[in-house]
Amino acid sequence: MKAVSTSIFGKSRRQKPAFSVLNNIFFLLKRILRTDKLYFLLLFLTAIFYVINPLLNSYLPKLMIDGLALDSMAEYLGRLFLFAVLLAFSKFMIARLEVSVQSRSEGQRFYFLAATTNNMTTLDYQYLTSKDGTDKMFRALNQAAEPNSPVGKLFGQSMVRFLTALFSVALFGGILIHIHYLLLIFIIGTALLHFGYGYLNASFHERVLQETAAPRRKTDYIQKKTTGPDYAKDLRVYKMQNWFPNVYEALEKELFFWEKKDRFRDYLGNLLNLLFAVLRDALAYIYLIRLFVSGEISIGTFVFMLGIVRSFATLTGDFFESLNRFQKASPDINEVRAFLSIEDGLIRDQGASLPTTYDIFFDNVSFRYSEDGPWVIKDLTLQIENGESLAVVGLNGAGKTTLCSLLIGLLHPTRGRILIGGVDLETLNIYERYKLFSTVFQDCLPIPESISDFITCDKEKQDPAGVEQVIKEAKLISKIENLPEGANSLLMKTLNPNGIDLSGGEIQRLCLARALYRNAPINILDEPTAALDPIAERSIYENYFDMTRGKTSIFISHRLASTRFCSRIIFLADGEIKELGTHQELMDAKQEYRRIFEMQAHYYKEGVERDEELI
Amino acid sequence: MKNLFKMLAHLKSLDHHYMTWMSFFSLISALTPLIVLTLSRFLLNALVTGASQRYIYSLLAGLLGSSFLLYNLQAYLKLQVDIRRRRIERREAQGKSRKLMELDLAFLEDESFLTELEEIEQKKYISNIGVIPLAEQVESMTQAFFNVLFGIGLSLPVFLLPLSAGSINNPLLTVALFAGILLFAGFNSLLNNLNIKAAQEIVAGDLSRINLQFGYYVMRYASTPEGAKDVRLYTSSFVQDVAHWLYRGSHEFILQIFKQLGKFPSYQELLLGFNTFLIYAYIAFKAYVLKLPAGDILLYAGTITLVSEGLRNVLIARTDLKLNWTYFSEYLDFTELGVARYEGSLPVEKRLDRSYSLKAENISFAYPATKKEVLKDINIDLQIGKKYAVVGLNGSGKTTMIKLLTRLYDPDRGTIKLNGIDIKKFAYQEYLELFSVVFQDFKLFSLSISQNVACSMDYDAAKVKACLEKVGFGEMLASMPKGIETCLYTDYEEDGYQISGGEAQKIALARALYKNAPFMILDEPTAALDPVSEFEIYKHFQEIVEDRTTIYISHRLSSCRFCDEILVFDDGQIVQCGNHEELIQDPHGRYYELWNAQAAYYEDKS
Repeated sequence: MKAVSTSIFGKSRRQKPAFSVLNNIFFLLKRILRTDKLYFLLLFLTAIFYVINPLLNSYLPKLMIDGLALDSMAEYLGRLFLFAVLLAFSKFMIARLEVSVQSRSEGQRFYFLAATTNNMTTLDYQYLTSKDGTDKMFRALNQAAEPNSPVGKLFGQSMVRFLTALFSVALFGGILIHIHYLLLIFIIGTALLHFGYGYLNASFHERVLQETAAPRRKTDYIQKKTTGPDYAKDLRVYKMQNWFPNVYEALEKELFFWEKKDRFRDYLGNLLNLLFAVLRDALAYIYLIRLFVSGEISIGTFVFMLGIVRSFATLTGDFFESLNRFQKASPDINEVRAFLSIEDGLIRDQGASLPTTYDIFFDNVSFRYSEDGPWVIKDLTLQIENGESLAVVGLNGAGKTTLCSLLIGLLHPTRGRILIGGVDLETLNIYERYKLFSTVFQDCLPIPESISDFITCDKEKQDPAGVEQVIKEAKLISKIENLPEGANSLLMKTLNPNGIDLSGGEIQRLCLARALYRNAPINILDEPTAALDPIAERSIYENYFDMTRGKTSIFISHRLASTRFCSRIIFLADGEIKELGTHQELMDAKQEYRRIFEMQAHYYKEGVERDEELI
Repeated sequence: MKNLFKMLAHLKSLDHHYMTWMSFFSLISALTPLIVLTLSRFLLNALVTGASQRYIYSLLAGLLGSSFLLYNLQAYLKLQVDIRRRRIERREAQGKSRKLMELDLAFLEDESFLTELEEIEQKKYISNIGVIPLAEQVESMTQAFFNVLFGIGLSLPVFLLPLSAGSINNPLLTVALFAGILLFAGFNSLLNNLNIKAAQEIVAGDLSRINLQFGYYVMRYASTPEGAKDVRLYTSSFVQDVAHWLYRGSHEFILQIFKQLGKFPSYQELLLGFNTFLIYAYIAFKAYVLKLPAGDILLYAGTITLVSEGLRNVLIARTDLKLNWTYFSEYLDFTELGVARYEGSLPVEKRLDRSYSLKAENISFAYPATKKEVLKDINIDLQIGKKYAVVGLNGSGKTTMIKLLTRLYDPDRGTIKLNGIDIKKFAYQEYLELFSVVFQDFKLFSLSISQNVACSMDYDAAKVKACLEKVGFGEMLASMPKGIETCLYTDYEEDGYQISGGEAQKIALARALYKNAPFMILDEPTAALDPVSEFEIYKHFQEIVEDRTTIYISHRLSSCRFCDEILVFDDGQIVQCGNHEELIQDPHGRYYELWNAQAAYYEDKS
């Protein structure tokens, strides 16, 4: 992989040109100014106190030493006391301000986290599940969820450090320039050199991050999988306890190798810095000694100035380092902004008026996921009458789910249009479009809400009678009645302390209830999972039969047994409709549909031998 | 104290030499400032007393040279310590992982155990606990100890310096100073405790529950393709609500928390200020009265400050270690959890003819956390080489029986016997050699296909290929450029292949075949396969399982036709057994009901 090269003044070259470092800093600052003025002020205030502190610290020894010349001990001690109070106060303020800055910076982070989550739930499905979309989403999430986030704490801290360094350099520089400008120049010069080393080292550091990204990801992966319950059975039966430690060892070797290198480079940088420090100290000492010996300054001032020189050197280094930190954080901030600034072209405001009849027309629809990918749906034309129930069958990968996703609006046709009641679906407001469909998919996922919330999808508006009705229809009434909280029971025990866990089959019925409650004009039903036993499976089919009467419905079948309740069947293969008709018509046609049907029916027929050949 | 040794022993087990390096580092870190202070003192005194240029500059050279060397040494030692620290962290995680792989399955299927473990992990992020903080705390304590020791040593002169016949008693003053310092350290420790308590209260409560929910919604739900569908169609308002709460609600909450947490450190700073004043006043007093040279003043100011800091850090480290112990004792308990399976020691006779008989006698079982009996007085006699189909409703006990046969759990009552001997007597690892299982919720890892099939980094490539071809994966394999070295999914290797559910199922079957065990147990092995692939498996069932004793659990009752005997489970008991022709005769039997529920769809209702 290429080494990363970044520049303070230009754009980051790691990814496509995004926002520059300065742009990012101003972006975040503007946001703070707009939403949390106090935070903005606190940043400056904290920096000021951070500047005063080393000044006071350097002055204290001078006070101690020069004060010896005072006449009264009481005055000496009095001055010391006053000074101690000042110092304590400044440290007290720093402690308070630091914490305040931290908490408010978290507030900023939460905004970005909420915004990222919002986008995650509303952006176009097709884009979000593409490689580019998923990548951007996770990058943004990671940055916003990180405790020391570049849009949160890290930015706050870096800002304070930067302002502190800026003010101190100005203040201390102003003091030092009265000694000798050469010293000033030398200090700034050596700080720049050290910064230069850091800059060069940054690309090596990037390389280390890249080289260790894979072993770290893999180690995390193994750890996650082997310590959860999902893989536990397989792990034991196949005695994988011997397999993984070996994999770990190999990864560990890699990681340790790179880390040693990285740290060593840091150590060399440290060494360089120490060298500069020695030279700088030597210069300062020699010059100040000369001044003292010639009587221009007192010993107290000598000690004071030494302290100032040291502080100035540290703070100049800090200044450059904070520039460096901003530079490093900029690509991370970009990851968040990149995700938040995605335009997906969906209609979110006023769209076309909704259809009033629900006949569906696929007009020469073709679809593929990417320009260089294969066609998943090829030039498909299909007319579904209002109120008709259509079964879509075909082998895995034939395009059944894709077809339904195109209809719902999760995917968008590459070519052609889809119309409902004469309205082109792509002209509708996307949220209204989704609401046209009552769906039950194969994946029925629980959420940590109450049962009635799950069914109604709305915590505010609920129709309790309607909820009870659909619970009855989905045959969950006996289960729910026996719960102490009834339909108000919370789901997911691990996320809700008083929650309950439903079995896979029960969750499927819950999804069914949800689809019934929505009562949308078009049904899209996917065959229930193979995890249901025959009785439960049959019961779901009966529900589907009731649901689809009189409503435009599409039923996806992975097995052919259950298509009987539909008025028509289409057989998909390779993204095209190969056969179309009623069950009897397709059986009479003696094509692929019949062949597969016979395959499944084979063992259910009476009198068949075990190894009998198929027609 | 005893606990401290336990923690140190644990640290040693992760890296033998860490303590040595760390001690060196602490020693040098403690010595360096003191040496620098001492040399500075000489330099300053030389200046004030007007010593020769040569002397002054040679002192300067000495000062700069030695500080360069010492700081350099310190940086080098820090390098060593840092590298080892990160490695220790990784080793600990691996150790935990290894332990979890060995534990009885009962633990991993126990929600409360997993939640407890998760909570321990969560605590690490909030408080200063864990093995790395342990290392840091030990280091801090060691350094503080050295600071106090050397600091007192170097400051002795100022304590012992007698005041001239004055009104103040010398020892009294020193005692007052130390009393003040100790008092300060005590108060500081108290504030530290209060701070920790405040932090702990934050961990419990609403915020962590919302955090968990947010974590689920965002990381395991809305960001997955399946969840993303659900979100757009149904649940977006819920996810957004949680995010919104996190933004608005918890923001307020956190402001409050931070305000609370900010109190104690700020009071500590005030205390520190008072303490500093004490020290400096003491020295100033003595310096004023005794006319001490400038260099001495700064030296003693520095050393006494170091002593005071040392005392403070010792106390802080002590409370931190105490807190850390609560985590450690939980963790050590975890590492000492028993693994009962390994008590048996009988080796299992290796038979090439696969003649093993397995008998379950009067088995009853309920999962540890529940009282509901999942299996009630089950009797099974698995005859060598026969093919058994197991059917029944969900929850009737089928998968549980498999777990008992493979000894992932032990029955509450009754015995399972292999060739007449109770299976508990056998060495567990050898006993497991007898079983190849494809679980209903099987999982494959994102490593290469070859490693997945062989379950090891070493494997017989030809055998791997043969097994894959037998289960119908041959064609797919031929189309993969990397062949069996292709990695699955994309979360391990970036160029991994995203296999479908059906393809995964075939690989899982191949894995079972590769193990080549005499007993084969297949739990819904064709659930994800399309009709054609499923039919292929059925057709070649005999070829795949050969003469192995096979148990085939399936909701697709079509599989019963090619098995020798069918066991019908209902509510934890075996209610019917026999072959298909026999069982279909009884119209009131469970088998008849299940069969017809499916067969009805394939009848010609014309």
